[in-house]
Amino acid sequence: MLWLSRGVSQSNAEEDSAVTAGGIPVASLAEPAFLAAYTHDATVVRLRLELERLKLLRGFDELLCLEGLHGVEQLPHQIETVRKVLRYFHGRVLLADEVGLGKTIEAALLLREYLLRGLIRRVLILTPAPLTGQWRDELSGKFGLAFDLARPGWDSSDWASRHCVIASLALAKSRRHFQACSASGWDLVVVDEAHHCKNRTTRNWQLVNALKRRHIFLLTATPVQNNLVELYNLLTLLEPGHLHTEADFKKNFVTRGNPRDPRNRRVLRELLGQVMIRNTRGLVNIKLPRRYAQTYALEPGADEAQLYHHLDSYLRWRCPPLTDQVSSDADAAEIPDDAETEDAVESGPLARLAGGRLRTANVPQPGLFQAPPREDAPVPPEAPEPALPADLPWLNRFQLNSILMAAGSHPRALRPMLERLGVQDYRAGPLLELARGLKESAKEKKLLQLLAGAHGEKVLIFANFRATLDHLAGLLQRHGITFALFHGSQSQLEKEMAIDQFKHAAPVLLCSDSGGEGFNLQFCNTLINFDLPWNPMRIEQRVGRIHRIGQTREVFVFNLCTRGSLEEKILGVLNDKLRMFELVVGEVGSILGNIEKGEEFESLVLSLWLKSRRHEELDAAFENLGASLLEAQAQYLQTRQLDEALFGEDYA
Amino acid sequence: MSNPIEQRMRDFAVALLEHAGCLVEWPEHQPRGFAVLSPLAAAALESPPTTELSTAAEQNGLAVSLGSSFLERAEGMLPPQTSVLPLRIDTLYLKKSALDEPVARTFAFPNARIRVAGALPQRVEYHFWHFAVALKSDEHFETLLEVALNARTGAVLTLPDPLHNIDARAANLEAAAVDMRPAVRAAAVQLEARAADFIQRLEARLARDQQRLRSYYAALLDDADGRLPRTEIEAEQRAAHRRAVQLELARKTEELRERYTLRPTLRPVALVRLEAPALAVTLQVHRRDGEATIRVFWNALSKSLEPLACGGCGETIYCVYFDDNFMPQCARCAAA
Repeated sequence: MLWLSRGVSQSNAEEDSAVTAGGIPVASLAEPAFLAAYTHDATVVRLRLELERLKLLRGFDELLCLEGLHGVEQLPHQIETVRKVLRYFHGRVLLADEVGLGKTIEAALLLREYLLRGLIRRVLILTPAPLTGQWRDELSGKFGLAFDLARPGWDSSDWASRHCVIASLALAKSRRHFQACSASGWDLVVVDEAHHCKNRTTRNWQLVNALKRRHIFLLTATPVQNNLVELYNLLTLLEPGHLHTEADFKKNFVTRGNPRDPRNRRVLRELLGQVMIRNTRGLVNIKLPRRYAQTYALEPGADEAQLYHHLDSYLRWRCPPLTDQVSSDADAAEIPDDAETEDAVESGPLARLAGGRLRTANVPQPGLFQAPPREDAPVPPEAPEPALPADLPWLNRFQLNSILMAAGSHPRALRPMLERLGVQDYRAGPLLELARGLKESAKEKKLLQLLAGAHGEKVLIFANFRATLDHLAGLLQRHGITFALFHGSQSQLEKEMAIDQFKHAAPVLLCSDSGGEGFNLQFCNTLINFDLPWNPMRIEQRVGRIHRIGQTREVFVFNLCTRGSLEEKILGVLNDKLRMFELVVGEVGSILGNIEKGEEFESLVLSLWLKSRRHEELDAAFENLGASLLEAQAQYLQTRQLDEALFGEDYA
Repeated sequence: MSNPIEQRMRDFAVALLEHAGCLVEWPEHQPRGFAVLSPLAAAALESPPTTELSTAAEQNGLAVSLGSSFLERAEGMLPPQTSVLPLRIDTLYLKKSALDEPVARTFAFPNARIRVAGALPQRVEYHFWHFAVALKSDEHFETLLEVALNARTGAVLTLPDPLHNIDARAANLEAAAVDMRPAVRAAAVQLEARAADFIQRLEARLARDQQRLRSYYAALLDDADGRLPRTEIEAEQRAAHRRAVQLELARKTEELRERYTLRPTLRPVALVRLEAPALAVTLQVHRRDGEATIRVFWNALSKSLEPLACGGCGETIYCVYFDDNFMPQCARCAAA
C-alpha cells in the first residue's frame, strides 16, 4: 500500500498509522479548502499555472540543470546535494563527499543550474594543473558549458573579458596573473582539490582569499589532512568569521596538545553543518562488486626485443642533455592542451615530430624495453652515431612520449612514427624495417588465448592507438572472432551502433581510450588492457567503464604487457605496491596527489626513463617510486581516517 | 537574453501585464523593455505607472527575475482562489461499431459475467485539476501535479490538456459542488512516485540518526553498568540511571520521528471543467443469482474505454470485482 494515498483514504485508523517503507511517519493529508473563482478567460488559468511553475523554479525544487546532459549518471545523492546547496547554502559550500561519489558532477550541476537561471555570469574554476583539460572537456561534453582555459600569455584584459574560465592554481597564483585574476569580479569561484588551500601562508590560499566573488564552492574529499586549523582555513575562505578568529577556534574547538582532536563537538558539528556537505558511501548505499586484476608480462620474441632495444638506444641518442629535458609541473601547466589524445595520435604525431611542438598533458604513454638484444636476433639496424649532427633536432618530451607510447602499444602504432623519423634522419630507417618485419607479438597471442577462454562472456578490449585498434580488428577478423569497433573519430550514431552491436551480437568490443564514456557497459564484466596508459587515472577510467553503479557481477581486468617494458614496471608499482585495482574509484588520484609535489605521474615515469641510462638504474628508480607511492598511500589513509573520524556521516 | 529562464520570465511578465490592460514594449530576447501600467497593475507591482522592465536585478525599473519580488507582486494581479474554467466541446466522433470486443479486451471481471446491453451518447463532465503539493519534513519537496478524471465515475484518466491541445470553448456550467476527493487521492499517488528519491534520502538519514542515537545511549548504559554496585543504594541509583537513560532515548527517538514526519499539503491551483460528448456503455452484470447494470464510458478524446474507480479505495481499475451490492472494487478491497 502506498503511504501517502493511505493518508487520504477513508479510514481514520489507517491515517494514523501511515508510514513510509523506511519508517518515516506520514501525517494525514487533510482535504484542502476549495474556494472557486470562476472565470471564462483561459489566459487567467494559464497565467496562474505559469506563476506557480516559476515560483517552483525559484524554490529550486525543479532543477533546470538536469535537462540536456550528455552521459552524466545522475545519482540521487548528487541531485539532493544540488538542491540543498541551492536552497540552504546560498552558493557558499564545502563539498566534501568521499572519494568517488561525484563532487565534480555536483559542482558542475550547480554551476549549470546557476548559469541557466541567470544567477551568475562570470565563473572561475581553479584546479590542479593536470585536471584543467579534464574539467574543460567534461563541462563541454557532458554539461554543454563552454569554458576557456587560461593561458600563460593572458593579460589583464583577457581575465576581465572572459566569462567562464578554467585556470590551474599554479597559473593563477603566479606573479604574472595573481593580480589580474583576483581583480576580476567573479560571480562564482569553484576550487577543485581545495585541500591545496589548507594553509593560510601559501599563495594558493592567498589567491582564493583575494578573489572577488559572490559564490564559492570548495571541493575536497579530505578537508583535514594534518590538523583542525586546516579546516578553519578552508572555512574562512568560504565564510570569513564563521568560526571567528583562529585563536578563538583553537580555544573553543581544538584539544590542547592534540591539534587533530576536536572539542565541543556538538557546536562544531552545527557550525560545520552550515557550510559543508559530505556524502559517504555508507550513506548513499553505493556498493560495487569486487574487481580482480591479472597482469601478464609476456616474453617478447627475439625480433621484438631487438627492435625495442635499438629504438631505446636511438631515442636516447636523440635526447637533449638531461637538464633541459626534465620540466617542472608548473611548466607542464602552461603547455597548450587543446587536442584530444586520439587527435594527437590520429592526426599524426609525426607531424608534431617534424614540427617539434611541445605537448605533454593528457597524452597516454608507452613503455620501452630495456632488455639486451638476443644473439639470434635479425640484423640490427645501424648503430647511431655518438654525437647528434647539427642539422638534426633534439626530440622533446612530447615526441619521446608519443614514440614510447606507441612502442608500448604495438609495432603497428610505432611504424608511422618511425616513417616520419626516417624522413628526418636516415638512421631511423633500419628501425622501421625491423618494425615492418615483425609478425604476431606475444601480446596478440595472449589476447587470442584470453578470448578463447572467455566462454561467451562479453570482453572489452582497450588500446590507445587507432593503428593498434585497426591491427587488432584485422587479427580478430582473421581468427573469426566477431567484434564491434568503437573509437573517438566515430559519429555519435556509429558509436551507438557499436555499443548496440556489442550488447546484442558481438562478444568483443575494441575500444579506444575515449570509448564508452557515457554508455552503459555494465552488461560486460571483463576488460583487457591490450596496452597501458602511463596515467593511472586513465587506467581507472577504463576500468570505470564496467566497474560502476549497475554492475552486479565481479569484474575481471587483464593487463597485457611485455616483459622488461616500462609498462611492466608501471604495473609493478601501481598494482603490486599500490594495489590500485582493489582501491575505490578516485582513491588513486588522491594518493597520487600526495607524491612528488604534484608532478604528473606520466611525466614522472618519463623523467625516470630519461634519468636512468642503465637497466639497473631504471629498476632502482621504479623501486623508489613504489616506495614514494606507498608513503603517499599511507598519508592518504591517515588523512581519510582522520576525516572519517571527524565528520562521519553527519553532513549529508 | 541568453537563458531560458529569463525568456520565460519575460514572456510571463508581458502576458500578465497585457492581460491586465497595460501597454508593454519588450522585444523577445532583449534584456530590457518598457511598460505603461494600468492603475491596478501599478498598485499590485508597487511601481510607478511608467517603468522600465528588466531581467537583470541590478537595473533600474521593475526587475523581472527569479531573485526579485516580481512573482509575489504578480500574484496580487490574479485571483487568490482556485481558478475554475468551464469549457465545452460540442461535437466529437463517437464510436459506432459494437463494443463487446473492446469491453472484453479492456476489462477483466473475475467474479461476474458481463454482457454489453447497449450504448448511448451522453455529455460527460471531465475535471482537469492542477495541484501545488508539498512534503515538509526535515527538508521539503514541492511540485505541481495534474490529475484528469471523469467527474461522474471518479476514474483517473490520461487525457490531452484542454488548455493547449483541445479545441474547446467557454461554457456556462453551473457552479455545482465539486467532489475533489478522487482527484486528491490520485494526486497523492502521483506525489508518492514523484517524491520517491526524496523519501529514500530522508529514510536513509532517519535510519542513520536513529542508529546514532541508539549507539550513543547504549554506550551510556554500558558506562553505567561498568562496575558492580557495592551497596543497595548504589544498585538503586544505577537502576534509576538506567531508567533515565532509557526514557531520554525514548524521548529523543520521538523527537527524531517528529522531526522527520512528512507533512503533506496540497493546494488546488486551477480546475478546468470540460463538458464533452462520450458514449455511455451499459453493462449487464450477472453475479451469483443476482444481476444489475453498470455504466462505463467510451471516451471520445482518448478514443478508448475509460477505467472504473474502485468503490472502496477509489483506485482506478480495469480488473473489476463486484461485491454483493454490485459495487465495482479492486482486487485488494474485494479480498478485504
